[in-house]
Amino acid sequence: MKYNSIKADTINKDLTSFKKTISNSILFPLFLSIIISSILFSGIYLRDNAKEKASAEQNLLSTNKIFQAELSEKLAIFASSNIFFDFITSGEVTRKEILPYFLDQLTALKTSSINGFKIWYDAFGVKKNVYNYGKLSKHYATLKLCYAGTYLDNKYGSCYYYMRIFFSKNSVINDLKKLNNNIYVCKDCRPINLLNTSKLGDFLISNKSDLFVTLKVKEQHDYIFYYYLILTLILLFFALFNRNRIYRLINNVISKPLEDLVNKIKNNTLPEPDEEALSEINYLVKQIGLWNGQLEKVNEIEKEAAIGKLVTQVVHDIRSPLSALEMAIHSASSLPEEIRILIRKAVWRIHDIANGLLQINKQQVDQNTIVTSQLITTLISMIVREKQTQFSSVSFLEIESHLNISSYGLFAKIQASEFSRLLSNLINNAIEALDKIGKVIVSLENSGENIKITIIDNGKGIPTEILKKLGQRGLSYNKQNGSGLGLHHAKMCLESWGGNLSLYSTLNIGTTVTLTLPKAEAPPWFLPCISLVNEQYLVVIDDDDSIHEIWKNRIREFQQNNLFSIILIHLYSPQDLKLWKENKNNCLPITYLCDYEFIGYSETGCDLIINENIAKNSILVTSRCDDQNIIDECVKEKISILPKELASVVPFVTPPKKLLLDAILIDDSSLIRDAWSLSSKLNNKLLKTFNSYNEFIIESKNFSFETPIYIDSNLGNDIKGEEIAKDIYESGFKSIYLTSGYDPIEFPDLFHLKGILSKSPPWEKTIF
Amino acid sequence: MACLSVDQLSFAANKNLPEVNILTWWGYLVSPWVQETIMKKCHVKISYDEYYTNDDFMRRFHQYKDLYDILIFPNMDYLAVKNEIINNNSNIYKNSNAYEKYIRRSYNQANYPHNITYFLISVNGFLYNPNTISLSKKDTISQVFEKAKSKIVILSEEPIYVFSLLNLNVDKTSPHKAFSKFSALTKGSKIIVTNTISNAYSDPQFAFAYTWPGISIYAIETKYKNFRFLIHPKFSLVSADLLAALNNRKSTECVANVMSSKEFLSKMQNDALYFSPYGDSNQISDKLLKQVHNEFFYLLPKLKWFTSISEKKYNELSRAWYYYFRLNLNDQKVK
Repeated sequence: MKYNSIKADTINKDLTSFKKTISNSILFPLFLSIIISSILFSGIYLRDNAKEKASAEQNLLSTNKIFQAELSEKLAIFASSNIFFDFITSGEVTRKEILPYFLDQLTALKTSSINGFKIWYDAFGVKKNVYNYGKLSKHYATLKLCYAGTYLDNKYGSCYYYMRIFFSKNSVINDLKKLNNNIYVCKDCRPINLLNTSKLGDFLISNKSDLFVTLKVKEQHDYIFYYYLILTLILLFFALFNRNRIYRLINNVISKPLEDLVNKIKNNTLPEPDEEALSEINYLVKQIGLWNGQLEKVNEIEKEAAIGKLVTQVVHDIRSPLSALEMAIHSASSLPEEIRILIRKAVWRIHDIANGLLQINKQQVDQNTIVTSQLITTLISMIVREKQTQFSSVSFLEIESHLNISSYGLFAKIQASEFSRLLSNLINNAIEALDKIGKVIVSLENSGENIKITIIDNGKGIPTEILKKLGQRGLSYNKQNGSGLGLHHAKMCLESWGGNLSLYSTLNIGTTVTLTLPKAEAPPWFLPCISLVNEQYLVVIDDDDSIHEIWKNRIREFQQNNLFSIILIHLYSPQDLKLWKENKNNCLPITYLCDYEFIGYSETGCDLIINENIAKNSILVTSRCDDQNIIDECVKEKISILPKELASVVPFVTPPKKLLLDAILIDDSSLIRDAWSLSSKLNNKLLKTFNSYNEFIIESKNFSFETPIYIDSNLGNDIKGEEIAKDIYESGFKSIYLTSGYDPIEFPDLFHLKGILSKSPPWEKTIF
Repeated sequence: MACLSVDQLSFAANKNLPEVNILTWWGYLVSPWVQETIMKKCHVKISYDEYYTNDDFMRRFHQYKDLYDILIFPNMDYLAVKNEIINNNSNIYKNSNAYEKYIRRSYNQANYPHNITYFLISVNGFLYNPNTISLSKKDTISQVFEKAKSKIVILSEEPIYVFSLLNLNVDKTSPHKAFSKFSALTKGSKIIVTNTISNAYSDPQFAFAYTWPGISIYAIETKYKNFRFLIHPKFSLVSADLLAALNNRKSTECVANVMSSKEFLSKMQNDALYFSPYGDSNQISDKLLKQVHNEFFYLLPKLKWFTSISEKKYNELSRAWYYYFRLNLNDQKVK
């Protein structure tokens, strides 16, 4: 009895201890993690707090800059108006007469931030007041009004007039709040001087007062603390809830049944074991034996897995030096681009081989799932260049690829790494047949529905009887350690891609291996051709001289054949492009050919194209067109890609010739159109008439930009001819005339119009 | 009883004086002595509006012509406004009898009506920075622009000056032809177009400005001491500003007479830095102006004059220049 009671006490103690352990193992890590995360949070909070403050101040200053830019824009519109210029350059008599118009113009300024202003003249030792308006205030900025002729020009103009604008502090604050909802007045904040600037937009400030404000921008971290607190409490609640739940479970499942059992043993009231229970035990014994057998099998599988693991380890180990090599190539700016590309592609090939090993190990090879549409031209170029480098030390061996315009843009559905491997093997075979002297030519041509690749060597050739059997599994020729699998594997692969392989050989003359593959459709990112128009810019942005040389030669050749004027611009960095765009001197059409990678710049070609907003007329010329990330980015931004190695073969196309007419008339009056048509017939002139601008725009692509266009000043439905003329001018037509029944003096002098004429056809009446 | 100071009294008196409204080139009438002289002699106040370009003049004249009593404007615009300003009841033409002989000859040949006299005479030339470019009287215009390649060149806003630079007859050459020739000539230079003193003079790439002596002398004397002004026997043309009295009011006639008098214009030379038609250099106090004045009158018999152009021609020229300026000159950059 005593023994039993001791045992029961021990079990009870153990159970209590077990419960405590469970409780501690939940609560202790939780409290520890809360303490650690609180410390980390405080550190991050304090650091971010400082950053947020700086950023909030920067945010406030940026808002002020936007406010000033908007204000300066309004002031510039006001100061550029004829009425403003006339007003300030007039004497009292004229000024009194035109004051209502001046005030009318002033309403267009529409800003509550300005209380009033004062304009005066100060030049050649004479100072005179011109005009005062509104209320003065202690916050002001004096702007220089500089004019070149009658145009506002703060850079080269003469500054004889000054305008002091007086600010209403409260209105300025309200305007800032409108621009940025997060701004609020904060009395304890550090005062910021909003007029701490030497320019207001483009206006130079000659003197100014201070305009201190105490503003603040709402900071995000104000709320972070509360988020953190709520999260911590939720965690705590869940931990306590779980602890209680586990307690309850232990009581129900272990403690109580155990207690019952102990009590039964104590009272010697245990039931006799029945047949059912015994058979259950027997079943359990058998089952344990079965499990033991399965365990042994698992051990065997594990042994095999260890080998797989070794392969995985090897692949993993290869990847680290490969990554290092990739990084080294990336920073090897002194290497010529061609060499860098070659090394990079070789590295990728090793990656492919490693991936292949992994796939074999995982027994997951499924040719169909990894077959994709691939640009065959680039794969051939890459392998040929690899071979040229590999065998560069062999003096009398030449390896060439023959690619031309007809081999441009040939795609086939294959597995790229497998194709590269088989092509590499076939070229190796050809080289081995040469015995270190001779030539291997790899050519690619478009053959109807198929792509034809030939590998020709002028080596020793293969006897006819061997030739017939080659390609069968296990048969090789002229190879000491040949397994006969290479050619067979190539044949099988090509056939699985819908193509085939054929061999032709003559002893002592050479061998030709011909591979055919069905053509696949080019993917949407691929550039089918470059469209060029006469008198346009072709801007090449690339840090590699050799690519510039290629474009130079191609454009020279193109211009000789087409009598086109293409202005080729050579730029070498993103910075060059930005400078060139700023200084560009006319509105000719532009096509950009942009490299992807610029040594010394983190900005990629894609970034550059997007940042400069030139995606519409840009082509990414890159040797990294097999990088899916780049392709995805280009597809998203609708940028075409030209593989760099195809720069020398990409076709140029020119727009179809356009009609040069004597005149195009846009007039909603059928009477006028008929009159012009009749007159054109009588005078033997080529004329096309349109009822509306919309009708014209549908056909406008068919007409030469040299064709003069005559637009009715009133096209009905409140459509003004002079407004439409702007759009037509922007689209490229430069000889645009307005036809009107009114006196030409009624119309402002518009730069896009060449003249204002009567309603008669131009060949009947001279230009006004 | 409140006491008024002398100044307040004179202000109160001036406030009620009749006003004569004048449209004039910028900077001519700004000196206080002009107002004082006229007030003293004619007992009127003048109010003046300033224009900065020929186009500006034409626009303001057409827009506000009823407001003006007197016009001061370039002789090349005469034909364009002639029909609206002729008035032979004026006597101010009599002042022309005392003009310097070559100036008088030119005035007589132009056959102006009685209400028009010469105001100031000018000649355009090259204001250049010898540190950037070296110009001589023997240079051809091609040589001048060749030297200015990749530098800043400032031109007057008046398109007619392109014709004088290219030695072309404005009536016989189409504006587009002249401007396209000019475009080829100036290719590679940064062209700035303004009639006023430009901040571009301070640019180290500034080569020359084809401008008037007034601007040139002022620039040299105030800031750009090393600059030179060259009157070129072939490309410098004489221009005159005309003074026209637009009505027969006594006040207008008096002011027009005073402003076209020898006394007034001889003094005005020092302010405007142009030349009086009377050829009088005695009152010129400025050394450089005197030097340029003497050189101008020495070369005057050989120099060509700007002739007046019709309104139609003016509009054609102006429109073509505007078109050309917007599309070409404004975009040219230094390479």
